[in-house]
Amino acid sequence: MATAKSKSIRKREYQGYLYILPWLLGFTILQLYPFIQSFYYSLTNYSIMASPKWVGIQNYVTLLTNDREFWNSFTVTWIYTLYTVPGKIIMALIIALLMNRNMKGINTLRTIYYIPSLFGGSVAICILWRLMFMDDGIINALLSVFGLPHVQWLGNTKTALPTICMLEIWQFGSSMVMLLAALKNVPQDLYEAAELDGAGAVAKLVHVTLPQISPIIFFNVIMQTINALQAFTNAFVITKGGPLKSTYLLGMKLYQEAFSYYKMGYASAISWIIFGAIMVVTLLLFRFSSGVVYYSDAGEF
Amino acid sequence: MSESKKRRVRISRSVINVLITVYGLIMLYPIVWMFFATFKKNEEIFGSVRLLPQTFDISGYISGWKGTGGISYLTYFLNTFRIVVPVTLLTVMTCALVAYGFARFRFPGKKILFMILISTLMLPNAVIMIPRYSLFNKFGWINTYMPFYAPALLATYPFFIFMLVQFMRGLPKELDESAYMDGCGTFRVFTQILLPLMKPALFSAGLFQFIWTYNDYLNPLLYINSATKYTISLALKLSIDAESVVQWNKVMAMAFLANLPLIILFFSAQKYFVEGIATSGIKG
Amino acid sequence: MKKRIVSTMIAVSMAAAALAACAAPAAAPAAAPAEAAPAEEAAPAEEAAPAEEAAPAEASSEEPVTLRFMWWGGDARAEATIEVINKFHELHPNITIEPEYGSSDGYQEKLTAQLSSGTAADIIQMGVGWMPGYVASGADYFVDFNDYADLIDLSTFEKSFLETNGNFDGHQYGLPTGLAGTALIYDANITDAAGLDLTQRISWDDLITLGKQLHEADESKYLLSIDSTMLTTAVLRPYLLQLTGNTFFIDDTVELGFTRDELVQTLEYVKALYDNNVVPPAASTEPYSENLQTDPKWISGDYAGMFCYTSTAEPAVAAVPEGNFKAAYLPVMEGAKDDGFYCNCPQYMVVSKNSAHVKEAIMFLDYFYNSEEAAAILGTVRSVPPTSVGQSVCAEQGLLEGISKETVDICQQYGGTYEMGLSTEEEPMAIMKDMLMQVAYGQATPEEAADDAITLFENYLSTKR
Repeated sequence: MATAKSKSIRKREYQGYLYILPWLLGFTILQLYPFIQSFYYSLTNYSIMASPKWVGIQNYVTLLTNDREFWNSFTVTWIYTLYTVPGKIIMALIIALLMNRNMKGINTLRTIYYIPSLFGGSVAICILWRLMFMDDGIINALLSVFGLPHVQWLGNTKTALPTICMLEIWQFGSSMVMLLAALKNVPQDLYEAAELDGAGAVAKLVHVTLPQISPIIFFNVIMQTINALQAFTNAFVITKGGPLKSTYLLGMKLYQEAFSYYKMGYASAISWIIFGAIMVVTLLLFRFSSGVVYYSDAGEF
Repeated sequence: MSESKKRRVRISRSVINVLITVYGLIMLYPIVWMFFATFKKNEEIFGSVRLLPQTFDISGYISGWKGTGGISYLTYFLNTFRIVVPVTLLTVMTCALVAYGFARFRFPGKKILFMILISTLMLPNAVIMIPRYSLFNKFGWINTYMPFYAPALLATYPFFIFMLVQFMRGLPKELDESAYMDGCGTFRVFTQILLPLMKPALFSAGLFQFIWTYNDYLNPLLYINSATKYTISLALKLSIDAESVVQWNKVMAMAFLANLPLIILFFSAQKYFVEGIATSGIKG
Repeated sequence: MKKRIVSTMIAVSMAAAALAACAAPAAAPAAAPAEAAPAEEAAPAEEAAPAEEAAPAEASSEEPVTLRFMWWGGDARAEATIEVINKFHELHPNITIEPEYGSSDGYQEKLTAQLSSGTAADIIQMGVGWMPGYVASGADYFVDFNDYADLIDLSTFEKSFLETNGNFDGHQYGLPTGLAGTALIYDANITDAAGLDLTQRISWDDLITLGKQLHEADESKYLLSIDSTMLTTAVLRPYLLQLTGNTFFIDDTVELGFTRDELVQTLEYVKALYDNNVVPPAASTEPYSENLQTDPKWISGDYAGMFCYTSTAEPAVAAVPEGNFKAAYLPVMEGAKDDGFYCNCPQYMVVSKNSAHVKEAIMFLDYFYNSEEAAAILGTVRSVPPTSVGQSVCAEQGLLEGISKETVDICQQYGGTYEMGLSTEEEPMAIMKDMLMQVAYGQATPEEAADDAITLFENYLSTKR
């Protein structure tokens, strides 16, 4: 290639800085300071009110060696993540595939499927969820129809976490919307070509649809993982971490340490550990994705 | 296709249709329950699983709308829109720009910057809350709507940037190349070629930002002091207090009303993100 | 005008932010950056000077003053408080008070952020449990009401009540908003039907006898609904206090107020409550923790009574419209070394030291507490009033009846050692709750749970020494 041309291309590539300028400014002005500050706090005994005193890595040492609650929360959080991330995405994917069609009233149906996600961790949902899962609630009534015994869903240490996970999975709407948008971007002619090759519905799904929407699936996996590892709202409003800390997610412990116990330094250390965990998982996912996720820009990123 | 196969397809289609409709009705349950709860007395809401109220008493709506302390829900709704509408528009515009920068240009340091961008999502909010509060306080932004506008203007929503980058990477680069051949500048490629194709993604980003900002409780709680500037999400919790007898029908009625605009928005906006691109053949 | 207020507020908060940032409380507030606001507007910030200077003898000047008043609570409290604010404005047209009311949800987080950045309201409703933490931080956030005795009449409060409520090492940083304490309520319809008598003074063992009797007569019924929080405040700590005569932690020596055996004995009592079906299984009540009044089984009358606070008795009773609720005496063991229960307050009112108008803020609180007009409007929206003025006005208006008053009356008969301090902080409370739940769920024996918890308590105490 001629050098003149590649020079002009390189010049063009530098325009990228111009486009990301808003974020560069936003990051330096609005985000960098809180970030550095929180890392500094994690090395102090900062209590929000009193001035921070330097304690080095002591917070981290205490967390990892002397705080049983931390390890419990750590485990609970991973279980929560392992249930909710695949649960939510598979649910969203199935529904999005089913909703991606022309049918009478499909607009209404899509809206209906999105409704649970509108509610988030609101009081109404909190009350409703308790009613549904209580001793004489609908869920137990359904169980008895099938001759199964009643379960004390939210009061039992073994079932409380799955019940919270179900609530989270039930709010799959935003993933569904993104997947629907992605499905609409899959070119029809790919399907036509596949049909000419004699592909059935399953083959079309595996060889056309999934690869085409894989960037968005990947995005959802990353974002849901990040969210799940920090999550606490649903557990906070419904079970308050109980019974017996069986739903005491790391995000909640962090919140508790910071605002109930005023141990901001310690809480900052927890959040940097969460940060580290998310970072590791994300990097692994990125690494793993390079073989699986299909980009139209041929990986030129 | 043979006649029997066609029939089989038709039957399986209608089975699926019935299934998703039934399942959809289950999903609808909470909003239906909430609607009926607006007419119920407290002991009916908490004490029984019955869906229908004993009587249809609309006093919850009337007394709820009046709000507290002489400020009605009209003010709360207006305040909320005053925050949500600019924030949504700004977010979509700036995040799309930044996403374009990341998705289509290969400049030095890009991968590191992108990793930093994503890593800003990874630090739990609780510990950044206080430093950010004191920062915004230094800017004099407490009790104003600036803590909402500024992050949107400066594209500090990595979620949307990442999302739009992913969508943009799904669009073939040959489109840009051929436009460059025609002598287009980068900004024209962005506005004339990519943005129209991104419509579904832009609309879903806008929709999410709208809904999330609308429902956000913690940020308005922190940054807004004056009752006259409260948003809906703050107002909805005003009556809830463990130490007083809460009239839940009122709370439910207002929560139901608060959700209506979102449901309507979703219903009417969906044609843009699910039927955005009718044309085919834009991709390799 | 509004702009002026905002910029004044910014000026004040800038000054405070400067303070917080360099974390040197001694620094002069005048260190606020000049460019933040015009010089004359920054002036009020300088008034936030030490108390002695800011308390001149004469009442307020006539220049317009804007105060911010922050509280949480339901609608009735908001309406009444706003009315009082408006009435005060009529009396002092130059003083405008901006109400900042909200839900209790997130209130503490907001307050913490505000205090640390110096943006807190002038007058603040404060949680009793949070106050020791704020005071112990040494940041000197609050005004000592004793320094302003000429502006607010504190003689309407009972002296001993003030000394135990809101007083920290001789500094009256908080004024109690009302009388409150632990309560035991029961539905007489249910107990009468079962032939139980709860009108007499009872012991802990009586509770077990009564509970057993009720459950044996009707398998679906339990005497008391209780959650981990009430188990901690209404059983564990009072029981130990009566048993040992010490508060849970002894604040002076920062040591445990009990021996292992005493803790085991207490936990065995808790176990007996569950084993004898005096209280329902934890698995069915814990989902409603801190909201026991929303438990469908409470509403349907499966539980005869409940441990609660005097301030939450009203919502609990209102949840069961057909009930006939009474307040019972609180349990005391034979040969108790201490009453175990005591009367305190639901919240404090405090004035921020950062306030540019401390004087006016205190004048307002004087009106709030000591004017008959205000007392008549406020009624019992913050529990039974603590002042003689408030009490007599409420009595005249017939506001002092019903379950709140009954529970407060009973609570006032107990003179237990006041335990606000280490024993009531959130962190050890969480350990206590966890220990109790281990026993309640049968996951640990009283001995195991006690040993486990003692290690954690010692850990906690070692951070406080």
